[in-house]
Amino acid sequence: MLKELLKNHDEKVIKAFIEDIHAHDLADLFVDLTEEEKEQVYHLLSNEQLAELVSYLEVDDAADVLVDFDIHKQVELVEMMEPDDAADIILEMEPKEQEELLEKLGEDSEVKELIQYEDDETGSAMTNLYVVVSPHMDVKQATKKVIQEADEVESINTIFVADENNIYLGAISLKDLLKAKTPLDVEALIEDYPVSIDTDPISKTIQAIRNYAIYEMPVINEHRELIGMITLDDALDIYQEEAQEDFEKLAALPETEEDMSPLRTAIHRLPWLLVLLVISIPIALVTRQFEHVLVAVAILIVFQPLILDSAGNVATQTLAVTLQMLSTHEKGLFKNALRELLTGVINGLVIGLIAFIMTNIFALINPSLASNPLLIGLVVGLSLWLTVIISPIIAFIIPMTLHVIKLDPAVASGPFITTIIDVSALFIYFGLAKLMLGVV
Amino acid sequence: MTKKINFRHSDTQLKKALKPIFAYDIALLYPTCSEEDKKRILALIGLDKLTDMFVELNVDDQLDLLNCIDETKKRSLFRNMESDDLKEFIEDIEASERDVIFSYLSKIKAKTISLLLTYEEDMAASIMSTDFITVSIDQSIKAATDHVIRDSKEQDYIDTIFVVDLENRIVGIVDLKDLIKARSNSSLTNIMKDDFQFVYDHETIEKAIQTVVDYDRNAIPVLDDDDHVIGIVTADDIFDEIIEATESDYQKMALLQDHESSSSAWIRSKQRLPWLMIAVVLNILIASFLSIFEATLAEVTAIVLFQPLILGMAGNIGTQALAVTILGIHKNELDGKYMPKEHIVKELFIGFLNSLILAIAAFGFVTGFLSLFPTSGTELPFQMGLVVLIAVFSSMFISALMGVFVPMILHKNNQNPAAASGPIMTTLNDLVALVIYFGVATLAFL
Repeated sequence: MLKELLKNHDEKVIKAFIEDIHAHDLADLFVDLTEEEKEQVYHLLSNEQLAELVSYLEVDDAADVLVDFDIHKQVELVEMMEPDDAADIILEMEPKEQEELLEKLGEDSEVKELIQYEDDETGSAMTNLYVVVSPHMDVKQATKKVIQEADEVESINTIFVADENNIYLGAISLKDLLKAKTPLDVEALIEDYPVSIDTDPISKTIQAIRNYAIYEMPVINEHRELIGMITLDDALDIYQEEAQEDFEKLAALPETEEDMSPLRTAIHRLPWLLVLLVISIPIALVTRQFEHVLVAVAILIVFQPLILDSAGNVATQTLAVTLQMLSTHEKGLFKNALRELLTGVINGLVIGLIAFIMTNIFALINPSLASNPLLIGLVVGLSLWLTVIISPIIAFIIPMTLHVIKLDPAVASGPFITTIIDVSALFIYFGLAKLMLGVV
Repeated sequence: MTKKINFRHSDTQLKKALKPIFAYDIALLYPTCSEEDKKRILALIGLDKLTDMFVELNVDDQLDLLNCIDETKKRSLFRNMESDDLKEFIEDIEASERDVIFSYLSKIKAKTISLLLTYEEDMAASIMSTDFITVSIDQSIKAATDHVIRDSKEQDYIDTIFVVDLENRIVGIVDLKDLIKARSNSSLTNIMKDDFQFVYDHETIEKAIQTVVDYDRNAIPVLDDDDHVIGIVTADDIFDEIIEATESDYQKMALLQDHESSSSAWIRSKQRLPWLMIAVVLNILIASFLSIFEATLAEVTAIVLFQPLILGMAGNIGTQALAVTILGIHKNELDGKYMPKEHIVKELFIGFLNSLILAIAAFGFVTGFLSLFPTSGTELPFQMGLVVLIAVFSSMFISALMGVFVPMILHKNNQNPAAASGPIMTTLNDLVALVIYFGVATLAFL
């Protein structure tokens, strides 16, 4: 669509087209353009339109576009963007370019303040597009302020109240303000309204926005000064990114990038597959210790995947539950671990029993395979029960340990848990077989 | 976040203590209180807080709460509730109890709710709220502003106002802030936007999510075929939908169902047992099938040493392909650029390449391991290495294939692609891998 228009070189038509289209749709079309076509578009856009377009691009594309302009235009554009969008883009730039731009931005630039926050802190996603009124303003005066500033803010439905020292006091709803009859101080309309602290984890703030079903969450610093707010649409974007990350980690996927070449993606995914080779060393060594048992009762081998799979399934469940609690900063981790253990005991008993019965039936049908079906069934069932009990313990202790030593539990837990569980499950299984089947 | 409440306080003091606590937090606290304390809470909080809190409770506690308040309060509670919340509550209760609830509602509201209940679960209209404000295009700015401020109910969404023509068809939207700051000699036609985002009532929730997320809107109108506004979908409802969908994908991937941190061990066991049992039964069936290879296994015990390796590798590459595909389906469909062909080609290339690399690595590993630690039955480490090479390559590649195709086929047949992450897939992968492994070993050594 845009491509064809650009070919015709009719500036008026293109301008009208761009005027009409939402920045999100323009950004979608923009990424498919050639360099020359992009140049053409730049010339047709006002600074304001350009700033909006850049905000809707993926951050790495946005950074590429931004650095192509000279430094003065960069500063102009950044000042027109919402500070949180600008901060995300600047963080994506090369260090040298980043430094140059930050230097040129004024001392009191919002963007600079935002960049100081860690990625996972609430402060990093703040904007300042809200109206603040003071408690001692008359409602008429406050209404006037709201109307004057309405153009520059996202929404005027919720108006924050802060005193002369910028200490946050609460919020008032626009409707109450407009219905109120002067003379009346704003103070009388203040309602308790949730608030977040700038250093709170962003995930906690997002949860709070969802729980309290609000569109704007005010953010204060340690001195209770009102310094920004998080909007619902930003919270939504951040949540989606984080959820995807969690999902990828659970599937042992490195961060996916859509435009990466297949070859690079393949190499990206290799490490976690290769880890299995390393894991196989202890597994093979343990199995080798029981060689004579296996030679005597070869049928044990066909049940080995059953034991390892079940242990793995149960561990995945406990791991996922624990990781979710860690990432949402929920309390009661140990109580949860206890429940997981108890769940393992119950589930292990049930599936152990099933395995015992089925193995017996199986051995009865094929009498040539096992001289003592009851004992084989007992070994399989009992091993299954025991491994399903230890799996949740391991799947809890490992992520907790990693968490305590400040490593990302979601990334590193998988390989450790698989190794320890597989090795201990094999010890239990073959060990029990050796004891109960009396092979010397 | 939850604060402790001291119930030994007098009523006046308790009322004071409850005031700064948000409805959501009271809802967390409420189910843990004694019967007597519950009644005191209900008597001491205002109607708005009661409504907000009621919405957050689960259905059993909701029904229990209704038993604790008198008829008048019930009536006001239902009158005060947003229509989408009320619809959700009625949907959750037994059909036999619904009539009683309906009897408390005004005629108009009862009709609205009945209408909402008729929409299918995945349609945008099923999550819409009917609490919105319209103004007529011929109204003056002042009349419109007055209408919004005076006539809107507490629960109405007023940040965006919908402008309709004389036949009640939507012609534009006005943001409240534009209305407020408009000069009184201006007109609605001047300040309204006539290119706005919306969904039709028969379109999917996904479409609504996509629109709200892409265009950063806080609310979009839901229209019927004649362009009448019949409801709005708000961003906070969309947020809930997204969270529910992603949590359910995550839990499916982790073989969990409806997990909540508050569930007891007993409930957890009940929820998880079905999957685990299916896995066990399937595994034993596989085991019985594999027993045809017993002769090979007895002869070449070294086979068992590398069994976990092969199963693990096939399982992992399958999980990776599956997760990428599920994410791709959700995300690309949302972006409106769903490209199954390119995705398949790319993933198959990756599956092929990584299977090949890993097969060669496994060959080196097995040959080396057996040379260092000779095991009975394999005086020929090189041959064993070749057997593993073939088994690793073919089982990994097949598993990657299934990881890509199964969710896509499920999706095409309107099933949730995340359902592919169950134990049936895993066990099927195991079966394929082991048949290849044992089969090749039989050919090589017997």
